[in-house]
Amino acid sequence: MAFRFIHTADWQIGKPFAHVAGDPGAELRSQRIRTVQRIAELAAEAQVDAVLVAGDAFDSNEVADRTIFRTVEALKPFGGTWVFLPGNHDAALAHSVWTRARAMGLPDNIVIADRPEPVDRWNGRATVLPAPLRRRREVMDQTDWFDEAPSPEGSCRVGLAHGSVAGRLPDRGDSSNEIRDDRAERARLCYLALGDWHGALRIAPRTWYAGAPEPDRHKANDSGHVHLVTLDGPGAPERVEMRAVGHFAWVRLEVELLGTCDKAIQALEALGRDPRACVVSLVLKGSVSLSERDRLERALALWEARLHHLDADLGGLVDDPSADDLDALDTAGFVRLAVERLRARAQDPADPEAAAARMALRMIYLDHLRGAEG
Amino acid sequence: MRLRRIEVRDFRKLQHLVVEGLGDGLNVVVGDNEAGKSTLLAALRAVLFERHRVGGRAAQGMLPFGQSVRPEIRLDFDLGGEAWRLRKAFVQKPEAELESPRGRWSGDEVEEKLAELLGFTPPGAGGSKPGEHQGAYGLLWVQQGTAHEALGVGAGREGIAAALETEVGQVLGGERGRALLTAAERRRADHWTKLDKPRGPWKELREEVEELEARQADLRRRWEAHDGKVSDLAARQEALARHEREDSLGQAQRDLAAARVAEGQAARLEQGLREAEGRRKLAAAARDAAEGRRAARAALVGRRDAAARALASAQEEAGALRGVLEAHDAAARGAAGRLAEARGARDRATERLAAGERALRRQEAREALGRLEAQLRGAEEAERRRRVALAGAAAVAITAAALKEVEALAQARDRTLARSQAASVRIDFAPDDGRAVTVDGRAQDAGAPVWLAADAEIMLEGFGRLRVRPGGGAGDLAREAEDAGRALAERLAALGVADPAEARAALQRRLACEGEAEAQARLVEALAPQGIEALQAAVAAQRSVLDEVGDGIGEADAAVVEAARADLHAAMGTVAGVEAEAKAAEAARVAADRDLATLEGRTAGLAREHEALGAELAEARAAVPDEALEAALGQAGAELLAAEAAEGAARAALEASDPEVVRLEMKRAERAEQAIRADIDRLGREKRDLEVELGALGREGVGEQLAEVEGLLELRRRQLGLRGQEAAASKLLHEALVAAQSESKDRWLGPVREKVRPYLRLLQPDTDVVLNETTLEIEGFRRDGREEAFHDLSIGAREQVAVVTRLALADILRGAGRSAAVILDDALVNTDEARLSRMHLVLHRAAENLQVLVLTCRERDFRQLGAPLVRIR
Repeated sequence: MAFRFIHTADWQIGKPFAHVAGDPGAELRSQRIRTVQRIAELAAEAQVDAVLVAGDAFDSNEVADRTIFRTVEALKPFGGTWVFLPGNHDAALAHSVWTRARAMGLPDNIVIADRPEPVDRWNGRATVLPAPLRRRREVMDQTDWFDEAPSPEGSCRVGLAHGSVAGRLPDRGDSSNEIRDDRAERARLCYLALGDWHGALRIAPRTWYAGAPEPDRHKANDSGHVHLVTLDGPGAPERVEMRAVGHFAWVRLEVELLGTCDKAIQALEALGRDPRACVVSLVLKGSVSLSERDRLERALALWEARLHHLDADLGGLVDDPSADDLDALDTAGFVRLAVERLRARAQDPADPEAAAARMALRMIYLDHLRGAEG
Repeated sequence: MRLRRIEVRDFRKLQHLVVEGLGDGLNVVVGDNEAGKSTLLAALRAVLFERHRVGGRAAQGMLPFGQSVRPEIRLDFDLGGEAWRLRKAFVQKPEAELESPRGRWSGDEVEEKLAELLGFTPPGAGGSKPGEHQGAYGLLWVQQGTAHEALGVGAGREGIAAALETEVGQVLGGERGRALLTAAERRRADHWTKLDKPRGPWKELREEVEELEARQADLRRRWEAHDGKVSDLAARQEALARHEREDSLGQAQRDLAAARVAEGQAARLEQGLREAEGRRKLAAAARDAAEGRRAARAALVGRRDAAARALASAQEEAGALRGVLEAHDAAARGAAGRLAEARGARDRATERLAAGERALRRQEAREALGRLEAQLRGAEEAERRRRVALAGAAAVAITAAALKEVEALAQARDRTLARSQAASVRIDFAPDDGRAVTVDGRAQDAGAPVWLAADAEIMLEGFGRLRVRPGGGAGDLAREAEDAGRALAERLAALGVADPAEARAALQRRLACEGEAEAQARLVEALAPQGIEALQAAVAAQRSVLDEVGDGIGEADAAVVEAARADLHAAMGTVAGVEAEAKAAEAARVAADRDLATLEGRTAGLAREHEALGAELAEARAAVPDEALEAALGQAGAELLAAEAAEGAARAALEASDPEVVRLEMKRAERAEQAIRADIDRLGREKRDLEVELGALGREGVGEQLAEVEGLLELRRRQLGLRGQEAAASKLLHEALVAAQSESKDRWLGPVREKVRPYLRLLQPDTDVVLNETTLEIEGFRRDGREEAFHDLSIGAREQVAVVTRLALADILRGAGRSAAVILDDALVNTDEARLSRMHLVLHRAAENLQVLVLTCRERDFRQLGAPLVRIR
């Protein structure tokens, strides 16, 4: 009889998102727990045998008690077995989120796999081999013991680990918590459920990252899913379905502007999703005239209200006051004199106050426009 | 604007005045003081700037004193090439009318139209004030007595500024420039205080960032502390697990049990040694006892033998001593016989001597008694005589003092008697035949004279009575003499003598008796120095001595006595010698006897001792024969040797078991067990404490808070960076604008200087006026490159400079199409003549383009001005 389970990881409950101020930040925090509940509901719906959480369910070992409590509450819709593996964020230290959770009194269906011991709760159909992290950074491959781990005859061996598969992931200078890329084969695993990488990824034969179910960063990877896995028996190929559970879309837009701000506005308009579920990072580069800059800022103010959160980085956007801009200011008089001087400074790369001069020009330009309006 | 005709009716002191024919250029309106020049200026202001409906103080100010009339003013003027007629009536039925070729206005429209035409701001309510409401006219129309004061640009500033801008173009940036500067100032003020300190949201943001940094540091510290505690907990858990894994406590307990077994064995060996030692000590004691017993027996035998020897020796000595005693006895008896003989002889000699001596003493006693008795008799006789003498003396009462007193009294009587007689009447009688005479009844010896001192009656027999009455105090003197005689008689009676002579003889007798008594007393003393009684006692004593001696017999012969004494002496010598002999012999005998008695006692004691020792020895031997004692001693010695050997063996066994090692091992095992148990307890306790502590920390969610604060801090820092840039930019912008404006202002005031200069040149070459670029007020005056403050100039100079500046400003206004007439009401009263003529040139020059009205009371000053004169009166 087949063994079906949900593979998920990297919930990172308790991640603060403090750089997103106010209600949107609070919303991002609470959404993560709602997404866990969504996973529980999905598990109940799909009638799986287990949900395997491959590490980093919590953002840190020092999250508040109420956060742990609310997370446990969110698991309730699924009464089957939950297996939690301590990851690098929530390592099974002497005192950890897990010891605290246990102290709160957990229901029987929740298994905290903080010891390298086989978990066998499915009448011999499957044996889960956990490789818990008991320090934040382990030097040795914690999955070594899988190779020799015993399991009943005919049982599907499922590995559960947290870390980076050696030599396979990009951007990983860190060599801690490494996992051999042939572990699945060596340990005769039907499936190796991994966590740590926030995108969904099959990284080696029978070796999968589920990714974070609720995206939490502007990275173009496949996050926002869980894996619904079916193992028909030892040796049979694994069947993996990706199920979207995430709520927020984290979008990063990088736009280079030349003179006008149209491209930036177009990029926002092209998001193609409910803007209220979008967390957008907009990085603008290039240069615009002062009048365009004014238009851009008005547009961004509008989008800020529309989107769940907009983080606009205009640091790379240079003002390039056009002759029209300046003529609009004044053709004569002391204002013109001041503007000319500021402009000269703004264009002098050696001037330490060049940036301030640019902003000063923008200010006077805006004052001028408002004066014209008012 | 050019004024043409002014008509004033019932305005203040002016009942009706018309000023006509005012020309384009210079006009002089002459009026004496009080003629109403200044009122004319006020009327002009009223018709142009006051609302016709104005009430209150402004309206009251228009009325002549104490009258209720209707002030009315008409003004004809040219403006913009057109002729305008204006009429206003105030207070009663106020009216306003304005006419031009292009239209006609009345009522409130007039005020609005005028404000528009002339560019001023009508007052909201109340009167119009030159500085606030009359625009440039406030500046250009100079009231009497104010010419030397500040310009009072006031509301004229806007007009002048506007005019200047039309002249110098956009130098100043115009309204927009000012608005931008204001905006920049506001922006700057949003970020900076006046002292260039951050303020507002920027400052708050900075503070928030600082606060967040502090919180972050605090949380990080707590987080790290938390982390440290987790590590501590892990270390404790690991240590506990190691104890368990290695069974360290079990091992220690096992070691301890083994050590305890070894310790038991060692203890047993030690006990064995102690017992062997005890046995050895007992054996030694037994052997010592056997030896003692044997020694005691030997000692007993020795003592008995010694006693036998001593007894024998004492018996022998006693025999010898008895012989000695007998010899001493015989000697003592012989000595006693000789002594008795010698004593008899001595006693006889003694008797003889005593008899001789008694005879001698009796004789002596008789002689002494005789002597004493004679002495006693003499003394007793002398004593008797002394007492007789004393009695004689005592019988006489008169003393030397009494005698002296008697003699004094006798002298006093004699003296008084003599005086009395001298004073008295002496009557000598010579009776015939002896006829009797009585005086005062007493018979009188007729042969003797009578001295009469007092009245007396003398009976002369045969004759009769004769009364004599003496005079001259004779009576008193006679009484005095009688008193003295009585006193003497009384004293003599008291002394028991008849007259003073007898008294003298008695005293002589008394003194003789006292001398006799004294002589007898000396005799008594010589005979009985110790007193008569002592002498009597001596006599009695001597008689008793004699009685004692008795009568006896024998001759009282001194030689016999002496011989007897010599015999006695010899006999006594003999007795003493024999007594010494006898005493020595007795002493020797007694000593020998005592020695013998002692020796015999000793002999008896020795005999008893010898007997007792023999019995004791026999008894002891009967109980334990000497041989048995010897055997017992031999056995005890053998047993002691055996016990010593056993003790040595036990000691060797104990030493072989190495008890020090056993003890040390025991101690080590105990300590190890205790230490491990304590370590486990401590680790367990610490582990629990840490778990509790971490549990508490966990509830706070330090890590979550830290992450939150860090995220917020990052956000705020970014915002602060932007704000900081804005702050820097706002400052830079403001500074740039201010600097540019300041430079431009300098250029801005250029036209004013340009306009002033030609006038000033007429007045005083190389001078310049310094204006404030904001208020346009005169700040100073520059002469030969040196600047003087306006208020430091003389009044004359000030009014000249002010007038010249006003003319220049009026030129500028005209240039901007806002031509205005200049009115100077006695504006140059402080100017000296030379300067005044210069000022005339100035006015002429100004009048080339401006209408200038000079109101003056000094016609003479302006007669030469070359301008039409209008007189008012």
